[in-house]
Amino acid sequence: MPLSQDNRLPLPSVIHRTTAFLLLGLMVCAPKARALTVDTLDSLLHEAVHSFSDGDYATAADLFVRIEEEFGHDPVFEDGDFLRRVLPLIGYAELQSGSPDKAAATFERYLGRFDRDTRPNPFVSYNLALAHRRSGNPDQALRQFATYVELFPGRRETALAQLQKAEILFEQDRAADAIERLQKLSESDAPANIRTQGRLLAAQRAIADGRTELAAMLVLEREWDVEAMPEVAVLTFTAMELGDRLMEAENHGQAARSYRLALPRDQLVILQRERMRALKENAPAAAGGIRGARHDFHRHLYERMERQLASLLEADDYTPGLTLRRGQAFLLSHRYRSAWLLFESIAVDDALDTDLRRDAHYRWILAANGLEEWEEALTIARNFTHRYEDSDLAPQAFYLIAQAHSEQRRHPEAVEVLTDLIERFPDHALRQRWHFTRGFSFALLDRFEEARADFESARDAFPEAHLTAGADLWYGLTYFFEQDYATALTEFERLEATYPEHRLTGEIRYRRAATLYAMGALKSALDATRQFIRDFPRHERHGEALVLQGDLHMGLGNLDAAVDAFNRVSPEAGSMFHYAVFQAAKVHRARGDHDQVVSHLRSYLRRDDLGPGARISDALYRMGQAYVKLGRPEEAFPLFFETLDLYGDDREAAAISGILAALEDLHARTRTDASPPSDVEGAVRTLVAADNFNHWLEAERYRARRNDRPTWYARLSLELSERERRAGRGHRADALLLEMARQTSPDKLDPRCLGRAGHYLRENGLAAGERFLRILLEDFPHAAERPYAHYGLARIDYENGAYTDSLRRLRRFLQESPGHKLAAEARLLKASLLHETGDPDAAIAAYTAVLEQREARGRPHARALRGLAEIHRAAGKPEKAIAYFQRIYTLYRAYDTLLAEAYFESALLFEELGDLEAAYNTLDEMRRTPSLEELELYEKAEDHRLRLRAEWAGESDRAGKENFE
Amino acid sequence: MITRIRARLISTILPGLCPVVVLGLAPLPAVAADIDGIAPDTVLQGNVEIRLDDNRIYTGELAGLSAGRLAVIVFDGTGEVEYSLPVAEIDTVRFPGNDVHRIGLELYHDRQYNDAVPLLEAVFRHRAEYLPLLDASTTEAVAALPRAYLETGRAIDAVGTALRLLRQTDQPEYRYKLETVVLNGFIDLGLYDRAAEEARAWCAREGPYPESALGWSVLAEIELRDENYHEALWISLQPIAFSTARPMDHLERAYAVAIHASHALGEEEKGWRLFREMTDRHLGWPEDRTEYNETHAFYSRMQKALEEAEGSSGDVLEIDPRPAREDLNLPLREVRKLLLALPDD
Repeated sequence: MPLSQDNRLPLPSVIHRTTAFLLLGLMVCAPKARALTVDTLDSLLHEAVHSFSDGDYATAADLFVRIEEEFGHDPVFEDGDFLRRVLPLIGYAELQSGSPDKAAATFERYLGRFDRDTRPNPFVSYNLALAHRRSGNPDQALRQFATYVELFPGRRETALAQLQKAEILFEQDRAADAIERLQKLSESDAPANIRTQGRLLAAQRAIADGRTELAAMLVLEREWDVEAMPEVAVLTFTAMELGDRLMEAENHGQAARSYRLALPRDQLVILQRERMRALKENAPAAAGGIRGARHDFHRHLYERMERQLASLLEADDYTPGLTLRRGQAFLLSHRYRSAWLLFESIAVDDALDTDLRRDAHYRWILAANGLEEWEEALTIARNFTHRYEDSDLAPQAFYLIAQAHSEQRRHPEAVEVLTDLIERFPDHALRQRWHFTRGFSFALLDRFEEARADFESARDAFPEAHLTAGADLWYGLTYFFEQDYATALTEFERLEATYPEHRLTGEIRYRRAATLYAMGALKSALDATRQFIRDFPRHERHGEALVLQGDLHMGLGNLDAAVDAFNRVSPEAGSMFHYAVFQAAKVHRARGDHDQVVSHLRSYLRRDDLGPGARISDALYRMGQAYVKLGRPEEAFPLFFETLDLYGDDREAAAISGILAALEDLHARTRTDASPPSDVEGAVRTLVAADNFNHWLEAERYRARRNDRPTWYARLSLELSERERRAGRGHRADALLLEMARQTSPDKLDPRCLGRAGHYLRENGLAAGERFLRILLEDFPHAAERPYAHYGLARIDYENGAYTDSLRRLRRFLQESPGHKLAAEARLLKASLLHETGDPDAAIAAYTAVLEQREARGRPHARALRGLAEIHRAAGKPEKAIAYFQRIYTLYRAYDTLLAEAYFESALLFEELGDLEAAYNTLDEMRRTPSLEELELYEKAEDHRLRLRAEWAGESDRAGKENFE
Repeated sequence: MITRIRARLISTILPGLCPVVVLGLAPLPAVAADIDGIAPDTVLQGNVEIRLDDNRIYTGELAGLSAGRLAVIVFDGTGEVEYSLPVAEIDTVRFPGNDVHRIGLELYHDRQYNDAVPLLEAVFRHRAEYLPLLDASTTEAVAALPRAYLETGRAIDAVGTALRLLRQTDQPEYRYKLETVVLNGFIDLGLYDRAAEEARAWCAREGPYPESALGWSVLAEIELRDENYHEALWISLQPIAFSTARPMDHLERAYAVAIHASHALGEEEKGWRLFREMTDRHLGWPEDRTEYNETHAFYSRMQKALEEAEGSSGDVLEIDPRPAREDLNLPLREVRKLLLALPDD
């Protein structure tokens, strides 16, 4: 790719004024010779000068030699003036005709004769240096050039002399010296062209010598005048080469800057032609056949540029390769959008080479991944695999597709892609990663057995690979997530022994401690945690471990130690820090040390380093609570109101409902006090003056709407709704919720409102409910109200036939919130799902679990019995089914619908068994239950009973039995 | 082939001007600064000398150019003769009044647009019709008028004259300047849909390594106007990603949009990186984009703080001179006031 370059410097000479002077001088001198010899000498001299002017230096040199041979004894040669003029010409002619050693001798002769007498002759000085160089005497050439520079510092040729010196130094393998000189030259006030040439030369040599940093400094530190400099092609390829070196050195930002200096071919060709045109137009003319320094310089430059242009036009277009490099530099310096644009331009260009397009397309996926535009990444990756199915990069592209799915939490799709990948490329080098990633996706789907199979594959098939220990750890973690803590503990202890000094050892030790805690082995957990904290003081889980230690001390009743542990958690631990602060406050509260609560939380609020996640409103609320406990409501009130004012409309703020509850309590107290406070003002006065807390809530609600505080409005609406529901005014409660849902955009609602209103709306078949619940999970993934979302969305999945997703959500719900008030509903739904998906044993276990929950007494138990009855009926076990139905109408008579169904279904089962009497009696008992008379099933059951009676009566007649009526 | 169209007796040349209507817009005003005491229109009105390839010369008044033929009225002493000369056979055309366009261009290049406009208008009036026959200097003067209009706030006239000239010339350097005027003119007139349409066509013509960032800058600015920050960022990054060491017109506009859009999207780190790159490339902030003033001030402060830090200690300090963002911590000021008011226990 690089163009051939002729780095040889042009032959400079300063002949213009000097030579004209010399030639003129010669003509003036010539007539002094004798008549006969003057003609001969004169004619020879004229011929020599003529040849010289025509550029026929060889002839001129010969003639000068002949002149000296034939007329050397002539007095004219004794004339200093003549020799002073002719010797430089002879020397120059010899130099130009390829006799540098003779030229050097001639110039030396000149200097020997005239150096002390006359002003230094720059022409002789410079050309002597050139002669030495061409004679292969670099040291002498260097010395002579140095002399020239010293004697003639301000001349244009001085810069050229510096360039010459640098070239000689390069030839002598003294690159460092050469580069230093060129650097100085490029920073001097030498003509721009020469400075540029020097800088480029130095950069090229630095790259060739592997001195990338120096090359980068030379190329990137100062601007290039691309519009004016002739050597723009040299710059382009130097910049590309430097860019490649910088990429190898992982200096991607500088690589991008370097690639930017390289012009695309079309622009370069145009610019090159323009420069050549300008050079031609501005080239100095040769005067009388004698070329000047500038002429030579331009001529050589032009010839070089001509060769460069020819190479550019002959060679393949390097622009796509340059574009790909630029994209790669941007990609690795995390400038993903720019990388995307560059890669896309190649990938979609049908005119380009397939391999190039394929490479660009693959990197385009990486750019999309880097930007975390997962949907786009998926599309681009799918497109890649479609176009380049047989490419070596196809498996990696598939993997990126799986990754994009996973990032969008589409784990089933990720699993599908990874499974396909593993099956199609069983021997691929990246198989371990695929197994690991699929195992991870399975774990997130709660498919722990399958996850373990993958982690086992990743671990056992690749025992020495990078991901092996990680796969092993995850293998153990799946037991933890499954709540099989005993097995998890065994695994973590095995891992500890297997990886005693590994980068994951800390993590393993922490997990072991957490497992012991989960098992309730508090002392062992405490020991394990202490050891972890001692052995891994800088581990990322250090803060978590301190919190765990605090919780363990709390569990063991060591409250001082607990507070000490919590107080050691620093803000760098993020959310753990805030948790620890409030745990410590909880301890103080539990001890009744409310002064300490206030002091502790005041210190928290005064910190400058709280960072994100600071629980300001929570802290203010707890302080207010503490003041109440201390019997100082006059300090609590203002604090509560200030908090509501600041945070009431902030959906991220916690503890607002707690503050409202506290205000209600305070309000109630002020109503019962014999002499309610009279020195209160503003909002406090309004609350105290309200005869009813609900009225105060209504007034605040109205004010919130008017002042455009939607979150605060919604909170007040929810609070009021719940109070109405507790008071038995369900319709009013529902109306408030509906109004709140209609009036408030979901992105203004806090987790409580999203959860409760979302649940209500969904239960009542309103589509907005689903949206509320999804927003709850998206915006507040760790909120306490997320069980509403898990349950509500599980029901939606169930109704849509997405049983797997539904089960997954329910498992998550029960794992995270087993004691939630919707837990019974979740268990019942899960049991029903298990039955419908053909797992009756699991369904039975699930229903039985409901029956074992004391909190699920009442209707949930009745429904569980109903479920069990259905399972056994479906299994062809009518007697067992009847037994369950009988338990319902024996023990759960309060639930009319269930009761009626139990009677009716068991009667049908009796009938199936041929026991018409039992069937009839069952329906008769049902008939005699007044609370069931209004039900539709009652009439149906009654019809059935009469039919049975007729049937049974017929049988009786036939059998000769008495009419039972 | 030359034809004698007609001959008639005319004793006087019609005085005054023949107003030129530009695309149905208001005629160009007839008042212009005098040239040596003579009105430019008068200066420009004189006889034109046309030399054909066969060296024949016609001197007279031009009467129009169409279908590749130039109409010229020659007064031959007895009357007028109108000739129709094929443009292909014309060697040179010498127009009078070079001073007008010369002075007009000088004022234009000195950015004295208000003074330049009357002169350039006069040149346009008399010469625009004959654009293919003009020399480089006169063509430049004619082509300068639209930009001069734009600079003096006459966007409608700018767009009108530019569109007219675009129909007449295919010289790339002039087309580029005229298309620039049209794009910017549409923006100034608030015709964003038209501007977007033109800008898209521009971008399609330019190809991946463009010589000008104008089309993308205009499109990106339109998206910014509609607060479509993502789109604005993507579009403005296109010329930046493909820019080289060669100067690119309007690149600073693209950078300004990209920085502003990044900032609006909360990607301040990216905005900062682009700002530094813009500065390192010695691209000045576009002064006429006052809507980005705040963004410019923000990053300039960061730049200044960094320079001061580097200058003072040599170490780069972690400085964030931004005003504090509104977040949960901010109301702490209020809370602390409250706490300070409460007695320490």
